[in-house]
Amino acid sequence: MSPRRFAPPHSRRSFLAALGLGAAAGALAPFVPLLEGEARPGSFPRRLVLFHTPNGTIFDEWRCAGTEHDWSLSPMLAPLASRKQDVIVLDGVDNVAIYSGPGAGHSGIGTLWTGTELQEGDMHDVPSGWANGISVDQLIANRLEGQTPFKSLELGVRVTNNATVRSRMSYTGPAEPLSIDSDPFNVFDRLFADAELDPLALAEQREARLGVIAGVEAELETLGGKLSGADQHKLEQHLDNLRAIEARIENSVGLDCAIPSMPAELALNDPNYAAIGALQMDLLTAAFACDLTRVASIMWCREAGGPVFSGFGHVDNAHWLSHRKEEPYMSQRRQIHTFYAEQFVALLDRLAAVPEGDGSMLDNTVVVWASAICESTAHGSRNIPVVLGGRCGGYFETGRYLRYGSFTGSPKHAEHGGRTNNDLLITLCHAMGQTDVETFGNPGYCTGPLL
Amino acid sequence: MDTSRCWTLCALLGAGCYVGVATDPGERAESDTGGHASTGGEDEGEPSCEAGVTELGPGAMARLTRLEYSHAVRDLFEIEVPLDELPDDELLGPFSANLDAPPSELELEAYMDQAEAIAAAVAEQPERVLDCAAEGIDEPDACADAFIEVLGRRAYRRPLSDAQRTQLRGLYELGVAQGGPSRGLELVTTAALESPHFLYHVEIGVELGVEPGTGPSEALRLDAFSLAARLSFFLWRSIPDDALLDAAEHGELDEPAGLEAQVERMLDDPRAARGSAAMYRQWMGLEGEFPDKSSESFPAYDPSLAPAMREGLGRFAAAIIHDDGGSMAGLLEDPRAFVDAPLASYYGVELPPDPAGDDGLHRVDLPGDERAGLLTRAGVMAMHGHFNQTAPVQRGRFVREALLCQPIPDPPPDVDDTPPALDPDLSVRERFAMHSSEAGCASCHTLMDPIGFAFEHYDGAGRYRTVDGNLAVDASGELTNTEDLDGSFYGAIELSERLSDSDQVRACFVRQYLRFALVRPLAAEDDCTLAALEEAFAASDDTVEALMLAVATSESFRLRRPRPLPEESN
Repeated sequence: MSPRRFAPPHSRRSFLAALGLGAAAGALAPFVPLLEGEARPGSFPRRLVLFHTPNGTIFDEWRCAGTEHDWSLSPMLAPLASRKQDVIVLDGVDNVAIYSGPGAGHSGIGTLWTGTELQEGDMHDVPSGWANGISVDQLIANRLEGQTPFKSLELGVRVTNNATVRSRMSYTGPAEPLSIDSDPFNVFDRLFADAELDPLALAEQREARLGVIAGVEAELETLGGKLSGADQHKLEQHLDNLRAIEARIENSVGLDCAIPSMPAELALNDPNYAAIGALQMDLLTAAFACDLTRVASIMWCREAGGPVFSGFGHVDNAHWLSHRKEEPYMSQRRQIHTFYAEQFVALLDRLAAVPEGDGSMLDNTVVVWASAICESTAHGSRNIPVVLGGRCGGYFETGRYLRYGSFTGSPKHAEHGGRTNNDLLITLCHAMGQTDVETFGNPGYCTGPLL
Repeated sequence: MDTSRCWTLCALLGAGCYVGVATDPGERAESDTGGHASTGGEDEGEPSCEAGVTELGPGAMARLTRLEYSHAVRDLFEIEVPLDELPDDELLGPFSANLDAPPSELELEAYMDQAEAIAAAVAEQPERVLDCAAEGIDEPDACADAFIEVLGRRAYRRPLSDAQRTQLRGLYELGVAQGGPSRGLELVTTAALESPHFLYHVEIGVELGVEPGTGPSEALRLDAFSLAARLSFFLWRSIPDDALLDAAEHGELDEPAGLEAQVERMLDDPRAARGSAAMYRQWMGLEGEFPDKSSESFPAYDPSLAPAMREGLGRFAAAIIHDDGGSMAGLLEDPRAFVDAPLASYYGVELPPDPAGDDGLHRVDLPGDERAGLLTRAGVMAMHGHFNQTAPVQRGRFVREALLCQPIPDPPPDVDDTPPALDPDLSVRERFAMHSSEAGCASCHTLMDPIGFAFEHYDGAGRYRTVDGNLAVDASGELTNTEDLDGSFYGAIELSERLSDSDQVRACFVRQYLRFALVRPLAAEDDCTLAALEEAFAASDDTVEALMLAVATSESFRLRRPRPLPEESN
């Protein structure tokens, strides 16, 4: 880990409350810790956010009208009106690897960010294994490793139950899914709790933790030396991850930024779905603002899952609704997809409220909003809904609507000449400065960056 | 035993829906056959099983599941760990098994948090591990040495190495310097619970050194302590007790009689009931969250019934297996149940006057014309039920996969798999008719729907019913593409009776037990082991404890073949 400039522990300031008020945002200017070589104005780190919402969309109401620069938002994307100039809508991207190899439909969440087929396997209700390669966020995180305390953050909103292909989206390698933190209080503790401890207690805790970790590391090395193949590899990964934790503990003497405030408590249940999501987006924004990481993802519930949106008066869960075509369910589906569009905008708004140079963090970030499938009643993975938000350090010229291929939205989605998600993943690598990436995932699906 | 039947099935079904009972699909690249799992070995026919040669599939070093971790902590310290604060589990078929994913930073931090919390409690009451005063050890450092020895041996499932002893002793001294002997024991306990020797199924073996072609060249023969841990995690889903570790240390597990005596002892221990209950909760799909249910369609259902449904099913299986010494047929046909008051009311039975067990559940007999065995439990039916209607497809698939060992693939992309709308004047079969009329659907759905229709007497939330909308329930069902079960029947009770007298189901039982025991996918190389276990199971009149004994004393149970590193695709 490269040296960070750490200040003594800050008194707790209500960073997020300030964000919420908007007007106070100007007072937050010095929060972004500048790294060596980044002190000159206009040079800020680029960040990536993968923003996943489950169960596709209502395709006929998602497709926009118009041309690249002269277009209008569709009903499903209407909440983006205030950010229309900050987004690019991509129509015609196929989540293509799920069409070969095991699995189908919702399991395409495993192919979406990896561009690889799933492995063979048997996860009970999901007759497949894990994705067979690294995901785009993790490849980028590997390239940026050492620049921030956390390589990446994987946040979730009610991603519960077993670890299966439909409840994971980031991979560090073949069959190496990353777990997702659906508990904002735990996220807060990981990011900020140490800064709230009494310095003496913190010092003692650090000494003990480092002592324990050193012992475990020695055990992992000794044991790893006696093992072979996949077992040895697994312990190497364990050791790498433990060393990353160790480095954070060694360097954890405070943050040169404000710490967000958290509610006293919040039950982690469906009725609080939106509130949990809001906290996760607050924490994600704060983690970026404090430069704790530059790569993050947020998964709104597992694929093929869905809370009951009781706040809208729904009694049926969102996945069940996603398969209905009649009223009142169509209206309820619209409410759900509108909700997710509003959450996407809410994240863009949070990023835009953090000043960076003459602009905001949104200028230096790309948020990729996608689902694994297209029309939710049909489980097709061609023409998945994709929206990019933010300019990522000027890589993206926003305010555009791009359509690839001739997808018609018919139930039998044949080849339509669209582009692959692999090309989208290459694009994201380039946007994040990794311009040497020529293919991503299965090279057979790659032609080059979309933008 | 004829194990060639699965290949016949593969061929039967053609392109649309392959169904095989052969290797687990997880085997992919590691399997010698390489290609698609369900077609692996299709030209081989009956395996040639030579006496004295044991082939076996590869396995990965698994990390403890939530349940194993919590059982281990309970058995080490009598401390309860909240399961949902531990990392999520991966799955091996229906069973929890952390085979693939290395622990992420997030998960390692969760282990650290748990270890620190548990250790703090242990430090307050170190007699949870060792009562030094009772042992006549007064001097704190000597007490710490003894504590380290006892805890290390139990937590790591083998005696400490000198290096481990030195390392834990060093942490004790760090803790003493920070806050005295109690803090020292706290750091020792923390470190033990974060050690890979605690968190993984570490299995140490010696190479067999046989010539390639004459046996499993990469196989290792487990040492006695590794075998002891395998036994305890299979039979108890927890760590060995001191008696089992002593038996390992004294070489008793190397002798067939000694090994058998330990297995018999362990089957009689209450921890065996705990382990079996967990196995059947997982196998029957009840470990996850119950799906939401429509209160309009199912007014009697309440989510608060779920814990008793889940615990009651585990208790039922444990009672049949361990209290009765019962058989597969008992599991599939016995009408007894373990219920609390709300669940009794849900089943429409009276609570008996005698007191509940430790788990708060009473033993009752369910109406014999409504319920029989595992498949007809309210919990199993509710879990395999839609939000507002029954789920014949899911129920049929569940039986096909759980008891016939014939996995069904996902529906192809671009299929509209919306369940048909409710219509009180149409029967469920009429509503699902497209599944059998469209050729693309029929190849798979004829394997599932006709079995699922047999459960129509249980509504989507598991209650017994005789009418569905405006129509009388028709629970006639049909089995096809089986080895020995093809034919029509009526209702889930008759289905259960047929299943309990089937060679294919017996073979599937054996397969499920073997992979639960070995915590790895089974490969074509395991066929001879399976065939031998099927014979032993049948010879015992399908007694489940006899199968458990046969598995635990089989040669495969002593062997391990490390999984090679998969090829990188990126």
